[in-house]
Formats: sequence, structure tokens, C-alpha cells
Amino acid sequence: MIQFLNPALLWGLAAASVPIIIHLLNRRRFRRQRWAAMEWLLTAAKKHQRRLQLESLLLLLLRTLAVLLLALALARPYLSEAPIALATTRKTHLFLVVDNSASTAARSGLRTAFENATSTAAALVGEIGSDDPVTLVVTNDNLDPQRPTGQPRVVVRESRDHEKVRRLLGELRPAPARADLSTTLKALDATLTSAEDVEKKVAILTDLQRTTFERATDVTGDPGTEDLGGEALRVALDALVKKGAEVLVMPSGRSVANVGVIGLRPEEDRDIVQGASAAFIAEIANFSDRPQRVEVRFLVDGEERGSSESFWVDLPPRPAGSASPSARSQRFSVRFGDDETGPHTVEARIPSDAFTFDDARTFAFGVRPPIKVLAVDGDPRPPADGAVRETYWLAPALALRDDGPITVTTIEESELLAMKALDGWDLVVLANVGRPAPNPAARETLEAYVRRGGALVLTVGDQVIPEVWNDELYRDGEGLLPARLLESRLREEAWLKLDLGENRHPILRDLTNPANAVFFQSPFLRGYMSVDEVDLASGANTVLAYTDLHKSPAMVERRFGKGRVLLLTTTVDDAWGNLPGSYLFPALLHETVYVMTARGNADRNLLAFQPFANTFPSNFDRFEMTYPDGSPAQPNVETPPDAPSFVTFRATTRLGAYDTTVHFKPADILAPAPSPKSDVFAVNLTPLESDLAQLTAPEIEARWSGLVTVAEDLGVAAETVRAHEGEVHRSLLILGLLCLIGEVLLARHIGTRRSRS
Amino acid sequence: MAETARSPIDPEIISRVAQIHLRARMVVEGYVSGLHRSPYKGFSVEFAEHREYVAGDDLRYLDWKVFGKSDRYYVKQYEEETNLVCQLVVDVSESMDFGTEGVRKHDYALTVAASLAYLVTSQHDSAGLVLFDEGIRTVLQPGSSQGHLRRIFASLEGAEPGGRTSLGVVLARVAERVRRRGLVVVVSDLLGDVNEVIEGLRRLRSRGHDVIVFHVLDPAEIEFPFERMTLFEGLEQFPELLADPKALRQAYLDGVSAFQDALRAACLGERIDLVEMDTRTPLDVALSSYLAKRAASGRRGGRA
Repeated sequence: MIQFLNPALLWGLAAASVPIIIHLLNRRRFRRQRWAAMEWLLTAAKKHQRRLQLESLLLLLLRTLAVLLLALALARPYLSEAPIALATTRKTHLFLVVDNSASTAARSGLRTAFENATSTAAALVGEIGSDDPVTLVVTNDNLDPQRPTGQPRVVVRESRDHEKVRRLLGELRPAPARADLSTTLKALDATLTSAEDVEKKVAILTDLQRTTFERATDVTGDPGTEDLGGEALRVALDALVKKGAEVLVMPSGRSVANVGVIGLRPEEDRDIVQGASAAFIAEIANFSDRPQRVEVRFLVDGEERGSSESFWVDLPPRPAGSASPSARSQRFSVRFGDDETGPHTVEARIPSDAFTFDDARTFAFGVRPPIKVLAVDGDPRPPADGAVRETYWLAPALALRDDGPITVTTIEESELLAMKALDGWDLVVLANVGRPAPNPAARETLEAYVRRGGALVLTVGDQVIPEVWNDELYRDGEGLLPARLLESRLREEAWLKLDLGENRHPILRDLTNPANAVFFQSPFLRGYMSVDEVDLASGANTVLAYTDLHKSPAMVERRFGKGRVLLLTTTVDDAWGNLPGSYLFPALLHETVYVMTARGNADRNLLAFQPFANTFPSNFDRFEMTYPDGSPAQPNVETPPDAPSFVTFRATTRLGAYDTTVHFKPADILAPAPSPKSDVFAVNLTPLESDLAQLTAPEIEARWSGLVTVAEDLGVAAETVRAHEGEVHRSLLILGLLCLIGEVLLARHIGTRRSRS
Repeated sequence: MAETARSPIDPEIISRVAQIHLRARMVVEGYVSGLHRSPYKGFSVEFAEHREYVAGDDLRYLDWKVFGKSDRYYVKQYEEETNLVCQLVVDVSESMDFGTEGVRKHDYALTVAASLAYLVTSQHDSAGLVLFDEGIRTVLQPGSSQGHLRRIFASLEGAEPGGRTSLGVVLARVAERVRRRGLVVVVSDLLGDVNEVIEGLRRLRSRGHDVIVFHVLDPAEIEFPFERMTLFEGLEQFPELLADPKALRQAYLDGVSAFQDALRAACLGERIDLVEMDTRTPLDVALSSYLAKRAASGRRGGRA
């Protein structure tokens, strides 16, 4: 059955009468001529009249047909119930790809690019036939608030319920994540059928953000999968085009000048300890081509604190043609008192602009109590005159102040052996201990401590017999000792130093910084305990070496379970050299303790859509969580019968600090329940999304030439998605044009023949 | 250029003159003055008889000697020496009532005939006149006097075009009527069946007449220059025809050529002088043709 998309234009069919009218008028418009030689004329006419009439009729037919077909094509007829064999039964399958990445939330004028995109998408749905299917794909799935993935998702597949599609478009929201267009198109590719009778129109509604097209990274913004050439997108587009799809890119937003907080981190890579000053660095970036001056405010736990939490930052314009913005760092320091151990947040905030997702950034961290160090003295009573016990210098060097961030408890070797567990200590130093693990129980105590996350520092001396240590601690690489001990290499005079050349290891980074070379110089040492070649495969590595010919290891570290072990191959007293007498000594010790005991805050700082996960001890009772705005969240808690309980939470779709509380069961009915444990984690936007630089339409068409067309105008796009709606009107257009061409050729042929005569 | 180059016997100029005798005179005298030699010289005039004067006679011919002797008025009558009898057979059918260059074929043909009559009589030859359409309309027996010439002019002036052409029949009748051998000048567009035309001309030749055919056509009939859609209204009761002239031109011109070729071949075979004229052709062409033919027939008749 023939139906028309523009039935009003059927009036155009009346135009088909125009050539006939012109023909008839022409026949009426003639000159009269009295004529004598009529016999000759009649003979000539009789001879050619039939051919002349035929030519005239043919021209008239072609003209009329051309007008008729063109008029009919404009009315856009389609056959709704024609046999499949006819090409005219083709339908449009509209694939809407809506870019709802964070950048689309940028406001240009009164509306955001995202709002423009969804309204355009809804308008496009209205342009196709009522029976044509629509598939809706989003770049960042956040439709289900409980289980958003942030990944590309086919929201509706081949639906003829256009109302439903419009409703879903209305429910979509921008997600604080990056769009990965190539992956999105791959998801769409899976829904593409190769059916020949369906016109596949893919409309990508996007803000043209450059990084959306050029980089194929995952939602975490992992720069390891950079794809600056857009090759992944080319492959994805190519696959679509090969399946017969026509891909349209529809820009939904204009270029927006943006200033954003693209980073917030502690100045030093270590835990923040109560009583110590903590510094944070906020990075403010200007992505626009104009200089900007913004006020940066720092909030601690959501409140202004201290006297200098507000700073003005001048940002130069982004260098022309640069891929990077112009950025400035702003430092902020705060001191946490003795009663402030526990979870905290610091937030850097700038005034709200057109793109609000990056106007603030939160860093979550824990303030820990003073670090508890257990120093085990292996040589408490040295026989030699003038000699001091092994920890004589060590303990005061670590605990410089009574209320400082490190507290030290010194015991003797025998006391260590009496200890059943070491879990109360953040770090244990075995200083020149001759028999660190004389029995399996002692060894297990040590190993269990480290395996569960404890830090162990081993120093040598005259009490250490390599064979004994190798037997008790190295155990052919299975034990705690990072390297097999060989022998002590001692001389009477001091003859070697520590190699303090620039070293990137966290313990030595500041100490070996050339700027600090004047403070931290290595004293001369008499010797060291040599070790076998460090087995990198076991996870061990040399942190610091001596200046001898072989660069013998001075500090070797190794991960063991969740904890770390560090071996110092010289003494911490002055037996093998004057290390304790140098400025370097306390600094080296402090750095070692901070780095070895650092728990870090990586688990507390996530990018949007990164899942939050945690495990609980056996007396876990329940878990509570609130979104940054204080509303309750519903994390997924599982309590398997034979494994620790754990929580997973995927809906990290709101930016800011999430508070969590773990409640514990009492040990028995009569005992009071242990106090709940509160914590916090922060969710931030990937900084890559702050760069709102756009590709231009010509750039897109040039780079993905032949694969995409940019339609900046809804009318053009609508025309394209409707263009092949059934082949009827295209065929009619072609036929009409053929009629016109035929008419022109025939008329020219006749004209030429007559002019020759 | 065209204007300054025009001869005094240009058909268009001549056609502006209403009286046919003036036209004839302009043509002939214009032509003769161009020859630089008087055509009147060498012709003798023979006295025939006296006749009593009647009012209107030219006083120049009064015989004063007879008046002196008898006191009565007599005029002398002369018999002009007639060397040649020229029959002018002129087509006055409706098809001649056509012209596109400001000159109708009819007027052109009559001017040709009048000029020839004037020339013929001025050379003391006899001129007869036959006007015809589908039949013979007017016949004037040959004569050479001025009065006869006036009658010829009067007949020509009074001839209005009309009726169909039937040249074959007319020429057959002329052949029967004109007993004395002489020159027959046919002035016509010859529209009709070419075979009938040729047959009629043959009959004249078979009677021993010298024949000159002035085939008068309009330039449009030769060139068919029309561009726009045209309704051709047929003369001589032919039907109308609406046609695109461009489409028909070639076929039409082919038809004209075929007719002319057949006519030329026949005339050549019968030693008939065929003079193809269109209404732009200067009229002296007709006179030249006549004089050439007369000279030839004179030589054949043994006259100098």
C-alpha cells in the first residue's frame, strides 16, 4: 500500500499538466501564412508527418513524466506492505549514539550540550517512519542508579516504541566519566544486522570533545591505552560502514572556556600522622585561550580551617596548538592534632563555571596515630670498652621528640622471643640480632607479622653470622631476608661510603635530591656485610649501594605478603663506621620508617564509576554508606559462610566524599559492642574530561574521511535519516532525472537535425 | 548599399508605380538606355492607306497635302513591318496572388508581360496576350499598334488573380489557337503537376513555336525561411496545414528541387528557354531573354 510522508506535496502532481498546457499553448501560438506552393508543402508534410508527430509526442511524454516523477518524489511515497523482493520496502533502522560523558554537561548558553543532544535525538526519532526501529546506545551507562557501569551500553535494542525511546532519552543524565567512542561503536556493531532491506543510520550526538575522538581509554582514564590518531575509532567506524551503516556525527555543543581543578594530592608520598603538618597540592588548569584569575579555596572535612585556606591563582592562557592546558599548583598545609586520628578529607574548590564537574576535587585520607616502632637490640651489652649498645643511636634518632610522629620501644633479643605476636607495632627493627628466629614459633611470629602487613627492618653487626641468618631468615629465598648473606668485609680504616647519587626510591628521593646534597653526605664506613646477587625474580631489589667497585648493596628490600622487609648491610651503631654520627642517619631512618609503614590512600580515592570494595573482620555486623550529599547509598554486602564478609559498591556516580561506617558484633551477648569504625572515600572526575577542546567538523570529516558525515543542522540530519526511507522516492528522482536527460538529448538531436536542414 | 545599387528596373521600385504602361515603359526605357544603342533604328515603316480623320486621331498623321487638294481631313495609315509574333501567356491564377518581399508574383508577372509587350511593339513586332487560370480568361490577338498595346495594358491592368492553375490544359489550347509560328512567352509560377506542364510546353514546341518560360516564384517559396509554428493557408482551394516549418524544411526543399530539376531537363530537351526568376530578380532579365531569343529567331528567319 502506498503511503506518503509529505502528502501535502502531492499537489505538486498538478505541475505535470504544465508541459501539456505549454504544448497546447504552443500549438495555439502560431503565425498565419498564405501559401501558394501548397502542393509541395503537403507532399513534404505527408512524407514526414508521422515521424514529426511521434517525436513531438515523445518529447511531451518525457517532459510530463519528468515533472510527474519529481513531484511524486517530493511527496516521499513509501510502500508499507510491498513484497520483500522490492527494494522499495526498505526501512530505516535509526541507531542513536548519545555521548553522555562528563564534558557534555558543560553549559553553552542556556542549555548543556547533553540537553541539546537528547532533544536532537528525540527530534530525529520523530523524523523516521512510525514503524521504523530505533536502537539507543549511550557512551556511559548510568541509567540504573544501583548498577551503573559507566561503560557503553545498548539501552534499547530495535524498538518500534518511539515513545519509550523518547522517555529513556529524557531519563538519561551526563555521567562524570570519559566517553570511549570506539568501544561504544563496537557495542553498537554487535546489534547491527546485515539485513539488506534495512537502511542503517547511525547518528552520533556528541559535543565533539577532542579526547572523545582521539583517545580510546577506559573509564578510569588510564592513559596507557592512548590512541591519539583515532585509529581505534577508524576501525570501529569501518566495521559499521562495511555493514552498510551510514554514520552521522551531530555536534551538540559549542566550545566552552573551562578552568578546572585537575589534581589534588598530598605533597609527600607518605601517611599523614597526627601532630605533624600535612601539605596538599591542588593543580588548577586553564583550558581556555584567555588568561584567568581564580580563587582557590581549601576545605578540610567540608569546613574552612586555618587562616590561609583561600588563594588567588593567575592562570595564563592555554598555549596555542598545545595539547596540554596551562596549569598552576597551589599548596595548602594543615596540622592534625592528637585527637584527630581517623578518616579526613580535603577539598580544593574554585568558583562555579560553565562546566561544574571539575570545579572541586576531594582527597580522602586517614590521619594515623604516631608510628610505633619496636627496636630489638641484638647487642645490648657490648664487651668492648667505649662501645655502645646497638640501639644506642637508633632509638633517639627515630623518636626525636616525645610527642613526635614516631615512638620507639626498645627490647632485647630474649624479650622478642617471648612475644607471641607483633601486630601492635607498625615497624620492627632487628638491630644486630644474632638469632632472630631460633625456633619455628619465633619464625612464624615474625613471618606472620610481615605477611599481614607489618614492616621489618634488619640491620647487621658482629652478632650476625651469615649462615645462621641464611638458615633462619633467608631459607633459600622462602624466608624474610631479601638476599643471602655472604660475609662481612671489614677493614681497620674507613674506606667506603653510601652511594648518594640521585635515587628515585621513595626512601631516598628527598635525601639524594641534589638540592639537599649539602646536608646529607655519607660518612666513611669501615665495611659491610656482603650479600649474594639480589634475586629480582623473588621481588627483592637493591635500594641503596656502596661506592665500592662492585656497587655492593647497602639496602635491599623485599615485599613479603602484605608487608615489607628491608635489610641494611651495615650497623646502626658506630661499630662499622660513623653512620650514626652523620646528619644523614636520622633522616634516613625517618624516611625508611615513613615509607615502610605507609598504608597509602589509594583505596580511598577513586575515579567515578570505579567500584569501591572492602573486606571486614569476622565480627562484622553491618555496613552503612552515604553519598556526598548525605543521602544513604545501598552498597552490596555479602557474607559468605566460609570467607570474610565483603562489600562492593559500583554506584560511584556522584563526585565528592562518601562516608562509610562498619558496625561490629559484640564478642558475646553480655559484652558491649565494639565502637563502629568510620571511614571515608572520595570520588573524582578523570582530569582528561576537563579539556573541552573540540574537533571541528572539517577535522572529523578529513580524519575519518569516507566513514562519517558531520551534520550540524537537524534538518540535514533528518533528511539523511529519512533519505533512503524505502527506495521509492530515490528511484523516482532517478527516473525523473533520466526523463529530463532523455528529453534534453532528444530535443538536441531533433534540433541538430533540423538545423542541418 | 543595397539601396544605392538598385537598378531603375528593380521590381520593388517598379511595383510602386500604379499604371502598368508606365511600369512597362520604365522597364524598357531603363533597360534600353543601358544598352547605349537605340532599339528603334533600322526598322522601316510602310505606308498602307488613307482614312478619313475622326476625332481623337493624332494630328501628326494628318496628310496636309491631301487636305490642300481636297480640303478634307485624311490621316495616313502605315502598316508597320511585323517580323515576329509574340504571344504572352500570363498566369493570373490565385497562386500568383502571393508575395513576401513586397511584390506579389502576380504583379511581377504582369510587369514582365507588359514590359515585353512594350518592347515587342516598340520593335514593330506583334504581341498577343493570353491570360489564364484554370482556363483561358482573356485572349488578345497579336498586334503591334499603339492601340493594341494599350489594349494589352488594359487587359493586364484589369486582371485580378483568382481560380486554380491548370497549365497543361491552357497551353494545349494556346497551341491550338496560335497558328502562326512565333514566340510564345509563358509567365507563370508553374505550380501544378510537372508532367502536365512539360506536356503543354512540348505541344507548343511541336507547333513550331519558340518558347520562353519565365518561372516566377517568391523567394519564400524557394528558401522556405520560416521558423515558428505556422498555419499555412492554402491558395487555390488547398487545405490548411499547421506545421513546424523547421521540421518540414528539408523535405519541402527536396520537393522544390525535384520539380525544378525535372523542368530544367525537359526544357533543355525541348530547347525551351527556362528563365527562373523570383520576385527580387531585376526585370531586365526578362527583356534580355526576349531579345536574345528574337535575335536567334531572326537569324533563323534570314533577317539581319
